[in-house]
Amino acid sequence: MRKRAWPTAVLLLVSVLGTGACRKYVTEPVTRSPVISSVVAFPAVIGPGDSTMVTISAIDPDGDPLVYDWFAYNGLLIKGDRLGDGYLYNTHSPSMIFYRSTTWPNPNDTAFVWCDARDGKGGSDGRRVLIFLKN
Amino acid sequence: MPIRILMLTAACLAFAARAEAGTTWVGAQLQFPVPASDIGDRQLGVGAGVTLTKMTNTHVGFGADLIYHYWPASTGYESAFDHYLRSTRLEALQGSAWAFTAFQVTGHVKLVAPLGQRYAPWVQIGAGGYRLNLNLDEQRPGGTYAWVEGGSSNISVAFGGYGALGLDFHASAPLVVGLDATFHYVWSGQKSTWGWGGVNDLPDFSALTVGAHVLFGWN
Repeated sequence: MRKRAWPTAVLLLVSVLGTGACRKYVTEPVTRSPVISSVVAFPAVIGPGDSTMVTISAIDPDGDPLVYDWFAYNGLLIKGDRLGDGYLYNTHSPSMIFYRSTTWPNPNDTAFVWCDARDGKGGSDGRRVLIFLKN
Repeated sequence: MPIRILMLTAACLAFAARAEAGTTWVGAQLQFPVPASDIGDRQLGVGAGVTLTKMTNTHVGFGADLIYHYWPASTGYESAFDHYLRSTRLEALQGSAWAFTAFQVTGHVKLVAPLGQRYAPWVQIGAGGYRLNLNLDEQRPGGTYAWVEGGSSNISVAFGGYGALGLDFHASAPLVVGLDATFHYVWSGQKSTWGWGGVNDLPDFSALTVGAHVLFGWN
């Protein structure tokens, strides 16, 4: 019995040490970009004087809070864009309301909104959503 | 009565001097870190290695240690390590209960106070290098937009030292068994290149271990 105890103890010790030496602890970068899963405009077809709400669904793998940039093209205006230049940066809400411009020369057209979700550290994701204009 | 005690003590020291002077002790150590400020209790830590001491006289010896340690980090130290990783290497630990290994190569001075033929308490201080392995598996999944190139060395050598207290029991002529408690202090050397006042540096590491040893001696 005593003869077996020593090899068992040594084997146990070697196992513990070996397990510790071999085990690796995973690290992942904290600089992963946000990921947009969907951008939805509702309604997707708007007439003169109508508005539509665009909503982004995005997550950040690192858990960073996201901000959103909005870019409106082809006859759309952004609510809250005082300059009226079609750009709005650093909003905290993932939803934004867009109006149809009354001065846009091509009434039957396809407008679109480009949205960026940013983590504030350099990571971003962007996507476009189409909005149909009709009279 | 006090004179008798003094004479007895002197006789013990004289006997021990004949037994110990010039003796070289070599043996094995087994240590277990005690959960404390930097050592966690979520895993079992362990240390094992060999030590050698050459006694130059009854009370003083010099030697070297080669000891492998497996040190599980405490929650506090792991948090500091995670902060260091985030700030300097742009990565973070996944999960918890991180542990690292250290291979200790140190020289030491041992001071022995023989109390008789069988028992000898001692103190020992040592210093040298600790080869640290952080045991990291760095992954870079898709979507990663920034990382540190070439800055992720998992293995480094840090300066460290220890102080130990122990009690040897002379079981037979060439054989000593004993118990010891050791306090290790390792300067991490992992300094961040940015941040004020070392806020992003990896803190130094300390560990208290308790263990046992077996030594064989010869003249």
